Amino acid sequence: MTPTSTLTILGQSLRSVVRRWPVALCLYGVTLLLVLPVVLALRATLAAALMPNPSAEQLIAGFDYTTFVDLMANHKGAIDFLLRSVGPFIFVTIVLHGVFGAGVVAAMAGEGTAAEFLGATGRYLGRSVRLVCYTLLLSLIVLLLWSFAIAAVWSAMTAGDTLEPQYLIAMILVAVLFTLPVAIISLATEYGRVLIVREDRRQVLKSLLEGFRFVFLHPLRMLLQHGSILLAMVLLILLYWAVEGEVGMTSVGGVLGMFLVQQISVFLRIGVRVWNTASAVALVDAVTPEVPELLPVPAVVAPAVVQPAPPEIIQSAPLPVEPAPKQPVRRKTSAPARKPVRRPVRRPRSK
Amino acid sequence: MRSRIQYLLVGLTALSIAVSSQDIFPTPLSPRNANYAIEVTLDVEKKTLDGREVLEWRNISKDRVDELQFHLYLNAFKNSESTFMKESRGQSRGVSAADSEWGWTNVTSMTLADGTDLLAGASFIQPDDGNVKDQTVLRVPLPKPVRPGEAIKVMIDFKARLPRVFARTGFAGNYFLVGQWFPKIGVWESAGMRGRATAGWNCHQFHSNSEFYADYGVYDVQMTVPKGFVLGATGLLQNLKEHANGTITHTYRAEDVHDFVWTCSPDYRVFEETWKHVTIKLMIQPEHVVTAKDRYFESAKAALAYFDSWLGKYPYPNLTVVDPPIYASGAGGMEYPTFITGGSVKYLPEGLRFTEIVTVHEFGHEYFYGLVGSNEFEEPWMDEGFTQYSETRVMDAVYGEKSGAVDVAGIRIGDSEMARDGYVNMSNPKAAPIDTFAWAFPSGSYGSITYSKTATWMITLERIIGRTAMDEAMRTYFQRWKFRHPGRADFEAVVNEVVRKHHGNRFGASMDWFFTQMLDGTEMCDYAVKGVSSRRVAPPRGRDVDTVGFGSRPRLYETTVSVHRLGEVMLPVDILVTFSDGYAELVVWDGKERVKVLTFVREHEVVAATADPQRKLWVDKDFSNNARSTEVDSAAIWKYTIKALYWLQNVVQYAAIF
Repeated sequence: MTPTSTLTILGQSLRSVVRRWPVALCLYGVTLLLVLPVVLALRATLAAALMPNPSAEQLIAGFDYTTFVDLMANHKGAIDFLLRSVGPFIFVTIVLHGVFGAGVVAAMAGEGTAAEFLGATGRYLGRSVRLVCYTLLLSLIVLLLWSFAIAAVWSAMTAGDTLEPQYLIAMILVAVLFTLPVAIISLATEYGRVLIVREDRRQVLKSLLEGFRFVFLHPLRMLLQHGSILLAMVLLILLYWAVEGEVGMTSVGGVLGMFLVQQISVFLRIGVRVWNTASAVALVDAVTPEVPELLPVPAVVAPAVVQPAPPEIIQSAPLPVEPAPKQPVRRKTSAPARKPVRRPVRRPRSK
Repeated sequence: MRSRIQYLLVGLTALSIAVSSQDIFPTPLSPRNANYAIEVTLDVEKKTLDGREVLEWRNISKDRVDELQFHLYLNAFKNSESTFMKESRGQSRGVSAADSEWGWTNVTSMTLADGTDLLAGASFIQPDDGNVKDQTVLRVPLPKPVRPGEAIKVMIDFKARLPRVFARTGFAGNYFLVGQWFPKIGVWESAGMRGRATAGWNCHQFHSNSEFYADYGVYDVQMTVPKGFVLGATGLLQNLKEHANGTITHTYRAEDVHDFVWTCSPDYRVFEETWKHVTIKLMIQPEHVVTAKDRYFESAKAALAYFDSWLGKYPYPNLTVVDPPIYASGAGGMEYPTFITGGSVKYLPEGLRFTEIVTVHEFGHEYFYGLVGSNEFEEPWMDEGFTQYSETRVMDAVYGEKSGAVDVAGIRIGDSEMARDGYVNMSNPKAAPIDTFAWAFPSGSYGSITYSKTATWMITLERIIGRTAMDEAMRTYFQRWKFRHPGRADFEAVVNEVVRKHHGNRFGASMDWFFTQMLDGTEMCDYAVKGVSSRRVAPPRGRDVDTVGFGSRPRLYETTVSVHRLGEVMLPVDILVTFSDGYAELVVWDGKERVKVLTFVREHEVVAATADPQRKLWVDKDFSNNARSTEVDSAAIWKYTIKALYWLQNVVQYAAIF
């Protein structure tokens, strides 16, 4: 593995996401539709509770602590349902993300049309739901056990007459310790999902376990590739904050401007999420030989499209012990979308 | 015989200290009726104190006093059965007591100057709750009463152990904050003093919520600690004496104060700056020097300057500001005469003004507690509440009315806003009246009511009677009662006097109507504008009505504004009615009726009505219902709707981790 290979994958997958922008648009639409009813209900409740009230209206001019606190404290009913909806939203989001994940993977491997995305989402619905269930169960068990370890680390590091730097180190360590299993499970689920779609696997649990195997086999790639994407996400967030600081929401124009900025920001961040999945698909493609096609394959494949992977990827890829049987390899970008194989197939395992 | 010689030596030592010590003030500022000479040695390994004390107490009342009462505060930490531990459940200021690190004071000997043993007849008493296991008050019968004007000298030997610090005093590692550490005499109160019916000792048990109350005097204290420990204390350093055994004795003298505290640690870094006549000594933890040193000095100087011009001169030549380490945070945020403990965290952003707030607040206690010696047990609002009010004055003046407490990432909160929020949004603002003994507050209500509610009603009073009158009242109260022990009636009398001077009978014969509601009541204040409307005045109809020329008259509108008193508290309230031509009319309502309906007939329609537009009634629990307009401007609603949309979209996005 070389940095170039990671850059190549990131570049390829980013181009792939840009070409398949309807996927990100669909996901953006889904999230918007998900939250919009709640938000519109909130608007109606706020309007009923607060208007016409100059106190509420003066909030347009900027944050006023006393006004804000009084409005919140004395109109709890108007916002309670919003706060109560956060928990269910998180659950629904996790499920939806799992469900649509398969569609994203399929769309990244195909043309990336909205129909393709939604069709694949439907086709893999059952397996996606099972994958989410397994992941949640596994997360629950791992995090429960892990939390004891984290608590022990925290107690050990902050016992006695501890000063701030040590508290800070302990906090960072605990955050890392907490994030690590979450990140691993998240990545394993992503790669498990890629394997399910790529090879039309029906054994979901096994695919999830292979996702873990894949992640553990390529720790540095994971760090570089997905770390880079995370960095891009952080930069987008920082960019939003900078713009928000400049524009502000202290006038009608400012509110409208920020609405646009916010929605662009959300769309871009969804794009980055899709990029993450696309890069996972690209990585699996790069390090794993193509699934042997047991169904009749096209008799002739144009030599021009039969190209070996870039040398750095070949060098970095774990090679099979036995040379893999020569198979025609099609580049995803040039080949038409292939219908997933329905029958379970064996493929040479990489080590 | 041995003990007689011992006491003679202590007496001589005390005398020699007194003679050798340099007077701080040429003439006494206070009655100086409780004077102490103390020698104490700290064992930093065992966390123990070995002390000998000579108390000279003078009876400044007209009563014969036939017994003495002493506070043994450290016995609050003796076991789980003390009143303090039962009330606090071993928790104070967010810090827990360490189960294996109890603290106590053991008086091993107590005699008069002639050797008469007093300890034999002494007994622990529990005047507040009858908890016989509480040993924080020692009653000592005297062989003969102390007559008015007479003085009595008592020699006391004591051994004490400091608890692991969780409530002001104690140790943590090699850090020591030695407060409430010596046997301390209570306050003899004559009948009539602070509204007292009969004369007697005011010497309460140590409670979880209560603080202290003592007479003024002179303290000559010799503290022996290991060499290398940096020491600071109430008063001024007089002398340093090194010993062959690796210890060093620090001699301090404090005059016209009612308590003595000291601290030592090898880790302190010491810096000094001056403000006018005051030397500010900062004893700071090394890890806080870079980030907090300037914050401490600047806020201390700001407080000194504000109080100096607002109330009067800070008379002492020194102020010691102590910065405890984070692992001894239980020692932070505490006041002692000429000595305050602050609080800081290494990574505290500048816009979070915690260090400044604590410093300003604790310095405020130098006035309301230190110089004006109110009874913190029985009237905690008179020191904590007054200080909280003073804190809001200083913080909002120095750091901004809307950013006195917080100014971070667009969130700006004034200190007075914070105080009001602490009261009106506490879990039960009606939990108890302000005028309640410190230990009698229901659990969790002491701080919000004593500190926040008092500050909130004082801001309200200031805005009702005007800042000029309020400042004069506070100044007069301070000047009149410094170095004395005022009570509620004394403060009320000053306010009534000043309000009469400035406003005559505008607010009635006295301000009792205000104080009764605020100090004795638990009800809330809430005024709301419920209805604002205008309708065109129609021409008269029916028989025998004059409609001649009605059509040629300008169009008239009848405007009706209804203001409701939703709370039980009744205060005068301004009502501002604004019309479409820009004209605004201010109506003053006494705020007594349940509903006040105002009617106007004008050529223009009403636009809005606001009760208390200047937010004078800071105790109003809900300003969001104080105004109503006829024109709907939904921009703010859209603003928060859009914000909510974005937040939820973020929740949806960030939650999609699997």
